[in-house]
Amino acid sequence: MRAMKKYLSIIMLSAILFSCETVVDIDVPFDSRLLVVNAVLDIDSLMKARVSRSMHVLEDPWRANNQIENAQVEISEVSGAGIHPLFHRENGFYFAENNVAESGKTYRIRVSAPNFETLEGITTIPHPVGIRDFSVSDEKIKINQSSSEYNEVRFTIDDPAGQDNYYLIQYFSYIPMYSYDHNTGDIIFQGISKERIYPLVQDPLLKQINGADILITDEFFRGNSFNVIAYINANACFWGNCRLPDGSLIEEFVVEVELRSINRDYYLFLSSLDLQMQTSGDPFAEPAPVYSNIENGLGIFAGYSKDTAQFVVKNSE
Amino acid sequence: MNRKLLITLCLLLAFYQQLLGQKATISGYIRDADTRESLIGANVFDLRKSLGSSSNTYGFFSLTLPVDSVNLNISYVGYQGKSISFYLRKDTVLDISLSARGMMDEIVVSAEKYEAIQEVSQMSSINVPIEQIKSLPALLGEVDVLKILQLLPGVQSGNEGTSGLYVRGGGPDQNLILLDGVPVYNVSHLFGFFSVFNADAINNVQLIKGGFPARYGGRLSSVLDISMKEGNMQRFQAEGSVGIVASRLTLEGPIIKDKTSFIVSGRRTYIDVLTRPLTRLALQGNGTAGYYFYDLNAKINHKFSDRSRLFLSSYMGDDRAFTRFKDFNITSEGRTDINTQFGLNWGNLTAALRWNYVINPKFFSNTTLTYSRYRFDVGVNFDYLFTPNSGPKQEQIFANRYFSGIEDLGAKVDFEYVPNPNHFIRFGTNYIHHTFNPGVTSVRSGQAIDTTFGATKLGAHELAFYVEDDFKIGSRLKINPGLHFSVFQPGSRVYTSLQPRFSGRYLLSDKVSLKASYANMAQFIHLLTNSGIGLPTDLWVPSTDRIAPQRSWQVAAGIAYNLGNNYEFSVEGYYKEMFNLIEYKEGASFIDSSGDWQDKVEVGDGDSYGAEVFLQKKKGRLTGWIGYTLSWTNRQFDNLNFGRPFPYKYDRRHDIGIATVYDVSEKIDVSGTWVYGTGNALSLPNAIYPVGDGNSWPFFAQHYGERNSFRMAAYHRLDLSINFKTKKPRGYRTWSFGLYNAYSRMNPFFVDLSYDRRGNRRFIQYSLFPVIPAVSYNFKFTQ
Repeated sequence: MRAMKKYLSIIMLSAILFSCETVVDIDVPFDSRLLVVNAVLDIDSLMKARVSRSMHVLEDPWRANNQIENAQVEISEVSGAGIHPLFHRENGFYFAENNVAESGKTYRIRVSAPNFETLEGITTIPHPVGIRDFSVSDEKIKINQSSSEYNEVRFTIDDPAGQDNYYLIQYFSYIPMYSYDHNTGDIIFQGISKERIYPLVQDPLLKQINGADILITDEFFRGNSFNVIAYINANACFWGNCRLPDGSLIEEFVVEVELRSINRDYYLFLSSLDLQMQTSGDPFAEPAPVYSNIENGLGIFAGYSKDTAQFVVKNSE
Repeated sequence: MNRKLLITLCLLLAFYQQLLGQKATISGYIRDADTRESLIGANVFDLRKSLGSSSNTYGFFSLTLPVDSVNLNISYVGYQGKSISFYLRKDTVLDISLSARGMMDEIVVSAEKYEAIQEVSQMSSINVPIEQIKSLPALLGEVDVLKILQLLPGVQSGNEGTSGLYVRGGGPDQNLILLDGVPVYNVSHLFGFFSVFNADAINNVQLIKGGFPARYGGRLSSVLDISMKEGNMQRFQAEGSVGIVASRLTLEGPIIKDKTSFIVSGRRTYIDVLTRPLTRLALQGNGTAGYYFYDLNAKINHKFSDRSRLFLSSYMGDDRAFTRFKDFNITSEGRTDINTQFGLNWGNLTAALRWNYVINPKFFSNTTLTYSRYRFDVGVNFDYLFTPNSGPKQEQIFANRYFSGIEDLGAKVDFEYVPNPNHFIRFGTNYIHHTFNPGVTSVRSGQAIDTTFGATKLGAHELAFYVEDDFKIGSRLKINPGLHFSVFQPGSRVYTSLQPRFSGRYLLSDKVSLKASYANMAQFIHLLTNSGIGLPTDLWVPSTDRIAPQRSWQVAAGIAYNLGNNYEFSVEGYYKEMFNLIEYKEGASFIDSSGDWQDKVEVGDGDSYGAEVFLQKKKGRLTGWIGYTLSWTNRQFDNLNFGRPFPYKYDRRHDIGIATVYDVSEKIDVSGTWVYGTGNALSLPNAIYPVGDGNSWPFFAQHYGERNSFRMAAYHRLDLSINFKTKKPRGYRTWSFGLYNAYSRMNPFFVDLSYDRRGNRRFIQYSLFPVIPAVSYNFKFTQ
């Protein structure tokens, strides 16, 4: 479908390529800057939030200094069990001292800063859902018109019944790195390199965003099992350094899948952000606003719990 | 039950006739003396009794008068009038022929005694003579009926250069576009820059914007009724044109003189032929690419008797874009040949079989079988043929195809009963079976996977009944009340709609009348579009359990003033409310064709109100019109713009259209059009902000304020043309030269956020057409 979209787009937009362009001044009112928070809580990490401000649409975001370093940031449990202040470290990033989020709990974030309205957001961290029967096939197949060959990666989600569930899936490779000691002639293990894997997906229920992450809603399999099938190139050379210093190939490496259980707010945020990026510059697309669950501000307050599984893959070139 | 009803109806009609006393009916057809084409809307007027009638779509008229001397005056736009006097003793059949005015003044309207604007009860309706359409300037010299209609008040164009019609705040799907009574679903060629209607094959164009007569239904905003020519019954005739992008050729003539005639008209663009050597050169002989469209109209017309006539007409047109590439790889194991093909095709096929039958001089019937199909098909195909150094060849094909469309099979029966000059009763029924194919994707992946997914075919039944009476009450009041009842059944769900209609006029004097109308409309099919330019990816979809039919009501009132037969002037105000409109959800794009369409749309309402002023000069060396529209059009969707009303994309506060033709001499005429419109509404971001949790490279999201709260720059454009005509022994030839966008106004096509040459973020406006010259050679030969 993507290839067809490409051709269709080329034809539809070819007229525009030959069109004339004029810089126009449009008076875009910008009443006030809004406070922006991006805080996605991970049950395995310290609570963290990034605080910044919105800019006029014609400001250059790469030149503008948009981070807010003097904000008051606190995350509290809605049940009232505790308030966790976050402290600024650098570049607008705030961290809790020793607090991590817990699944099943609902949190509120409150951010205030001079000359801005105080913003608030609420989110609930879903319980983790396990990965079952994760495997990577040895056999390689061709997918669509790609000239590369792929290994099938599959696992099963046992979707909890009685609730709406949303998932975010990421794949990683863990590839050992070695160096050569010229004095001794030894091959020295340097560590493991963790790299993102960009899978191919064909199942229309799997929504791929950023070319890497996969979003799923359980709308069509609520309370049932669902097989997630994707395709990766099980070639360490494709994802990282795959050779030993003597030039020989490493024999195997690890592929990991991370299944994040996310809530609806985060799902809508990621979907709408991806849509906005996809439709940017498309004169025929309706505008795609990015979803926000923040009051008196912009951004997202969300969290996730996760399960991971690994599979050792024979390296192939 | 039905038989009893029919007998009762006939008895009632017979009884009604008896009540009328000693009267007789004059009926017959009014035709072009030369070609025998039907003259639609020609006026028959008895000067002694000051009573009249007009011919219908098939040229038939009926006028019942007291038994007495009659002095009939027959007139028609562009034709020399005729007077016939005789003593009317009994029912009389007349076959009236009118002669067109000379070639050089064909577009001049004869103003004597045609049914003037203040006389008719119908309001918000405009007929544009086809010869006038052909005389006005056109983009690249290609005459386009729809673009001329965009110059009329209440009718707005969409984007630059496109043929979409936006009538009184309605969308392009809300126009019932009929070609010989058959709905045409996609009227665009070349992504909307040309329409499918070949002016050489057209006989008559009527646009109705409001006060819809009950005989029309199925759309909310307008009816565009286009009649094809019937073919010359007398002699063979050839007409054609050679232009920059396309050529046309029309052949017509008798198969059996005065009995059977035919017309065949074709048009094809030839950009692909001209550019093929260049593309081959650019691709070093390894591929080709091209685009073309064609139209083919054909009609056969057979006269069984004065009372019975059969028509078979058809239209076929396609757009085709294609690329083909060849490549190969040679490795140590063998050779791989790679063939890549991309194809994009869309087009319409329509057919109508009509039987006119004059039951009696007062009773006319028309039975029609119709077929209409629109289909869109886009696909890519990769073929890998591996020839190893040894062993058999191996072939792998990867294909991806998306297709959609709509297909209608219909039948309708229409009756016209004219018991006396004070009544013109129409009633009938119409059935259509729709088959919707709202987007299917077919994937063929290597030799292992071959699948088809997407929405499945949907069938639906649409049935309608109507009755209306153009009813004259006294000398000043004329009304047209009517009822239209329709049923739509998509699957198990049944939707019904009873739609009252009314229009009327009250003569304040011989030259001035007040008019008013009310129309309740329902539309059972939706067009899923957000481009507004008639792209082939636009999907026709039915009302379903989740998506209800569109409905509307509209009131209009106005004044019509005939300024001494040279000028007609009208002012109309209207208010329209529309319900159950659909729009793409935020972010949805026409390019994304995956998934169920019902998940991609929002349902909401709309309103439109405004005033239209129209001044038309129909006679003299200078003819044309000036139209001005002041209007407001809004939409309200619960899930768009936070539920708040917002301006429609084509909300246009001011819209001006001027069209003029001036006969400099018998051999030269010049014409010009000028349009002005408030800029289209658009949504722009007003802020940006960083997103991302620090684990990845930050993005900057755009924050939007109110939907459609910004305006593009105003649109205005001047088009000019000059025609040099030369009369030949058996016809004439015309050289036409034109300028589109004569002062090269850079009109906005769309606005995007980008960087200027200094690297500053700015809004960039893209414009399509600067000044574009055109030249065409037209000819007409008659045997």
